[in-house]
Amino acid sequence: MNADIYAILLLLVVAWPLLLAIPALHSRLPWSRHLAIIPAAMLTVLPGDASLELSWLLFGTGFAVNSETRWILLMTVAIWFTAATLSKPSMRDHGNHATPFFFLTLTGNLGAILATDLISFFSFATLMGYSFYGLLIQDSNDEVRRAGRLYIIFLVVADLLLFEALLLAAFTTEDLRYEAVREAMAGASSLQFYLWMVLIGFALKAGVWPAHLWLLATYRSVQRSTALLLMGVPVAMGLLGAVRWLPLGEFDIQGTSEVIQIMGIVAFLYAAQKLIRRPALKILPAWITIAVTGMFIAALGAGLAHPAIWRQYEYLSYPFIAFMGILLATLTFFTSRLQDSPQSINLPSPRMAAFHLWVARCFNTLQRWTKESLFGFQSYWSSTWLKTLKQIQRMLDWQKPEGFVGEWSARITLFVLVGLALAWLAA
Amino acid sequence: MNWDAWLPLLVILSSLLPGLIIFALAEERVRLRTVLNLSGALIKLALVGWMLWGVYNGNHYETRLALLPNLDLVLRAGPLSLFFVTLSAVLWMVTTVYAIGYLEGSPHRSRFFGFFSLCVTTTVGVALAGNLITFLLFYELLTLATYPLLVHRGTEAARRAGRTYLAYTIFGGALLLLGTAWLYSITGTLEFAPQGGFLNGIGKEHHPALIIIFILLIAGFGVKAALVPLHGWLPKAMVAPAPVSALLHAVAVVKAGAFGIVRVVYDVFGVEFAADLGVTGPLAWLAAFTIIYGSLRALFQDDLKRRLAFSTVSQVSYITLGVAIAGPIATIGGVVHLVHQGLMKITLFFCAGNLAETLGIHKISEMNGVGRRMPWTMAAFTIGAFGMIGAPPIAGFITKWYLGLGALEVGQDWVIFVLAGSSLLNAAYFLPILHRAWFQEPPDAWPEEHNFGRKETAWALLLPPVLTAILALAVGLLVTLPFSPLEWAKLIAAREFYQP
Amino acid sequence: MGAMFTTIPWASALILLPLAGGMICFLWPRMVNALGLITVFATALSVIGLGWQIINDGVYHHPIGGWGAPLGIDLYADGLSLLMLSMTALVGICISIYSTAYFKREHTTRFWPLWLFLLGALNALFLSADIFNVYVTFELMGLAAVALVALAGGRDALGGAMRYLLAALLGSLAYLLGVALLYHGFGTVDIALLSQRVEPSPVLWATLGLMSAGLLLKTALFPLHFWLPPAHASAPAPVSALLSALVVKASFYILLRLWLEIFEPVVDDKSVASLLGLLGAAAVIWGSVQALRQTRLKLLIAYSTVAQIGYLFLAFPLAAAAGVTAWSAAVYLAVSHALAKAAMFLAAGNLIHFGGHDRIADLDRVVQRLPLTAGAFALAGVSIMGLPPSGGFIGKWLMLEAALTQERWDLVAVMILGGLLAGAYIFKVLGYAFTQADITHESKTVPASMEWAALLLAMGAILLGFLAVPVLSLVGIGDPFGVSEVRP
Repeated sequence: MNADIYAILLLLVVAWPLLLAIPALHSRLPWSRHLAIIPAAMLTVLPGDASLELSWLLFGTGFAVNSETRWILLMTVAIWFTAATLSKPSMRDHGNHATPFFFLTLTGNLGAILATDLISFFSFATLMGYSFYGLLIQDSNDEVRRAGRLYIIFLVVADLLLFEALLLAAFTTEDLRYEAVREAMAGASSLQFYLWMVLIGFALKAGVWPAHLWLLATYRSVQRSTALLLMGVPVAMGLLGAVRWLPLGEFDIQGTSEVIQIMGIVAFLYAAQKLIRRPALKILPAWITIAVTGMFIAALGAGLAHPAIWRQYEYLSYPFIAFMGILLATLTFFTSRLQDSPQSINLPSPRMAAFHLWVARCFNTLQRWTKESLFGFQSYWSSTWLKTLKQIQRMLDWQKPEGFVGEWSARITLFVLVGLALAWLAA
Repeated sequence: MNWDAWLPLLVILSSLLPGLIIFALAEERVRLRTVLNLSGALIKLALVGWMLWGVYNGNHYETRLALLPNLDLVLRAGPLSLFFVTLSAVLWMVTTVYAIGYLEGSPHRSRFFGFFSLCVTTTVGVALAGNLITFLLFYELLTLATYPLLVHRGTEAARRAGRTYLAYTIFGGALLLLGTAWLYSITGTLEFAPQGGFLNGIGKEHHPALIIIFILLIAGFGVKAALVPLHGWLPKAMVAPAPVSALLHAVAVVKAGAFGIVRVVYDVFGVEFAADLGVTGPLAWLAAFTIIYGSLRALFQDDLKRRLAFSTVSQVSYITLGVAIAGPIATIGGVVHLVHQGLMKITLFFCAGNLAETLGIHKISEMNGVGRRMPWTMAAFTIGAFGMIGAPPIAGFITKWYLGLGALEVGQDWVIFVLAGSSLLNAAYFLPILHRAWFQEPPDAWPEEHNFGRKETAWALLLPPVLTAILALAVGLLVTLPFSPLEWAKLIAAREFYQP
Repeated sequence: MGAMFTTIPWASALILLPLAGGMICFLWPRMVNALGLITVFATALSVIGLGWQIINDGVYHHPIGGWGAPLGIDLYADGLSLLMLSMTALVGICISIYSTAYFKREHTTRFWPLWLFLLGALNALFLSADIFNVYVTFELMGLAAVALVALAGGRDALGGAMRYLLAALLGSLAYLLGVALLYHGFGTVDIALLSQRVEPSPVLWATLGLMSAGLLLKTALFPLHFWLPPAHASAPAPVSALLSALVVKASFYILLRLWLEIFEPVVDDKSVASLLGLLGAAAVIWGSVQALRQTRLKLLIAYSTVAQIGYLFLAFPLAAAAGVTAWSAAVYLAVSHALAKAAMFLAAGNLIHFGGHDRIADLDRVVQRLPLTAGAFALAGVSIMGLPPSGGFIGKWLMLEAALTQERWDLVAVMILGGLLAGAYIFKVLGYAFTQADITHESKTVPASMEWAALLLAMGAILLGFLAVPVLSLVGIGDPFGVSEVRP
């Protein structure tokens, strides 16, 4: 009985917001944004572990909640609830086209938290990532659009890397649940590849230095409620993914783990020096986030190097992510409150603008270059052919009715020649 | 009377006869024509369903007629044939509904629907062909049946596109004829043989000839499958009406070529023999090159249908790639993409047709904010586009998954990078469209808006893309259920390609 | 019934009926259409009767008046003759139906007698067993054909007819010289007897040169095709159809017979066959390219005939190692070409009748307005291109098979190239059929019988693609190609 309720609840957590994403539905319900989070909120307060296996869905999907995921769930529910409340009154309007993306992102987020295997996690994370773009881009001005473009480029690349990692994992083991993958990958020959792809993939998603560019850009330009979600949605999920996908606590990976640690520390130091130089209040939380994620990466590196220690403190990682998410979200909330006019848009720093310009220029150059090489080849090709064809046509002209064969003398000669040739050949 | 022996023929007749009758119908007899079309489609679906169940339980259906001394016209329903037949039957049904809506009130509909039925008939013939000569026969007929559809609009551009199409396909057909005849002169048989092809006992002295024959056959099929140097006709063919493009890209012509490649590699040469000859490697590279090249060209098209056409060039080569990697899992990926690509691409073309028909939008630069005006159409388009990119859990993801795994299995890791590059490029040319459609402000007036009351467009135009989009999503989500395309592809691989 | 069927001398009826019909047409010009049709149908019935006899009793052999060879006139019919007769009957019926609607009143009185004479001559030719008889039928056929070409009147037609007349006379003359030489050398004109008596000698070689050249000229093999395009293009449509479908095939048939029975066994050297093959290949390419360059529909079709005749001659070099396959291919191609090309000319006639011109670029909207005609042209085109399923495909497939087993890559290339070029010129026409230009010319309605006649012929060409097994077994009766070769 209890298990059935849990099963239904688990399903509802994901399915309910997905259902609400249909405009006809959420536009008719009052407080639809809050309503969407209710099953998840109920799941966080209900005690005990629960799981649900849906073997018919995709390659076999599972949802589960336990003491570890509950932390994350709690954080997520809190942030989404705040975001739902904070969203401008206009956003609850009937005609707001960003609302479906709110629900879709929520679905992806909750699904990724509850998923018990890599493919489901990946699927939900993809849903979350792409729908989040819809939230980011609500205010259509140039800066938002540029930030959105950066975000989507990072997202696509990250998803690609994770897909490759997923393939490697699936090639190594049939069972794609987190524990099974951890064990299998620890001994696999493709471990190095897998490790780096997972790490880079999630680092891109979480905006870890040096992939923090999109985080800064979006943070600077988006609305308050969305800025809040940035902490809970891409950043926290990126870190969660890294914890779940990496073969942590299995065995000591020398060399690589040190590199990872150093990178994490460098990221932290970089963000710290930025913080010391007192950035504008508005983007302060972003730099703090970058510092924290740097530290987290360093910790992951340490965990890879010392499996025993990781096993000992593993349980801490989930509450850590959860608290980090909550803290950063609170910080965001208050800093933006402190600002005089939330609507005012900070101009991007000159360096950022230069970077954007550079990216755009590179892109254009690449585009032009490819275009020229492709079309140039093609036009060359067709012109050569045309020339040849014309020549052949000219050669054919001798056989016009008034030409050589048009004369009777020529014809009779031909006729005799054929006859003679046949007779001669026969003899 | 043994019905089993005539079922394949009946499947063919179920669209041939309505087609022939429709030719004779007067232009204004809309209702009778619709009834004929739909009843033909339904009968075909029922017959195919019956055969699917039979084949699943191990039955065989074969029709055999004498064509030449020692050479028969064979129609055989095996798992692989039925896979393709089912795809054609289902999508024909959907496309017929769409075409009825799309062409409402336009001239020459009897001619159009007549050739439309012929086109499907020949596609089904291609699918059911039990030997190479039967395949060749229907393959050539397909060329001829498609041509009037392509030039249906009768404009100068259509005529030129038709000429390009014919130049390519007739050339391909000639190569195919040569390859087939040559093969026959060496082996004396053309019967498709599952699990290893019919060339196994051929002596070593024929191997160079066989390599050339392989190239000829692949080139012949490659024309329709739009392998790179032979793809030029496909982007031009987008002048055809939207239902024709949809059918062309998803079911009929392009797929017939890809299906031919599957047949050649598995049922004529046999994959192991082909690998021994050393021909699968180059084929895989060619397919990979096509995948990347098609995507690159798609990036720079502003015309929506042209972009989709180049996307087809790229996507169809997934099938070839899967086949040429020559491992069981990759094969599953390639074969299942026959259906997956069909579902996704037909959705995209339906949506493009809706935009053109409802709002007069042909170019991507005109698509600003169109998602707010036509949310259902664009939702279907979004699913199709993400499927093409390979986002889970849509059909395209399943394909890429199996292709990638299959490549790893046989140690051809480079394929992974091709897949990644293709996904990246797909994202690069589909995401901007989606961005425009959903997040840009709509213009004050659309290029050429038609009023459909409160609906975003006519039902007959809206339902088909929504249905196919749902199917594309469903075959990804419910991939492990029996009779899902993937499970059927596994059945094909187990029964026809690799001994268990 | 069966007994009556087998005892009637159908073969004699085949010759006498059309000749008598022609006479009667002269006498009763007012009922000429009905009389002509009745005669043609009766002739077709006779073909069925003869077919019945041949299938039941094997080869038919009938000395007229009881006088056998070497002095009398023999009628001889085996599977090959029967096929040719059937082809003639079938094409003849369709063209006759077409002609009843096509010609104006004053033309019918001249057309029907000529056509019936031509039919009688053709039948006689296919039934002849001696070479002098063949000469007589040749002359009759040639004169009737020339007169038919001139029927349209006008400068073009007369010029074309004149050329045709000269070519036909020249060919016949050369042939007659050959006959005289053979008779002088071996004392008989009976083909069967000749085949036993001939031995390699200068006389034979001279004969071969003379007769072959004459027959090639009449068959219009490249480079002796010069008379064909103007004659065929300027004649009335049914006449063009007759000439392209039947008359040209008749001389090819004789050449084939002579070659198989008399020349091939004694000419050891392969070079004659090679030369014929070479000319055939050149004809395929040349005719196709020329067809592609034409801007007038009928000229295009006429040049297509030049190309298609080339295919028939490809069988000569291939026959050495794959005799039955190669000859079957040639015969099959000849028959399908007869049906398809007749359909094409009739379709072209419809178009001209409809629009008053045959400029290809102005054939706009024909599909909408003459769908059956366009369909006929397209189906016939399928056979001409050699695409499946059609008689042309079967023939081409057999020919390819013969070439491939002997690894004659040059001929393979020619066949493939010829097919491609054929595709190009057929679709050059069909491409314009779908365009939507403004109506710039007065159009006349086309009688249904004219449209259906063309379509029937075209469908016959397609249907031949499914009848390969019965047709080939029919041709095998009497073993016209010799049994010495074994299929590989």
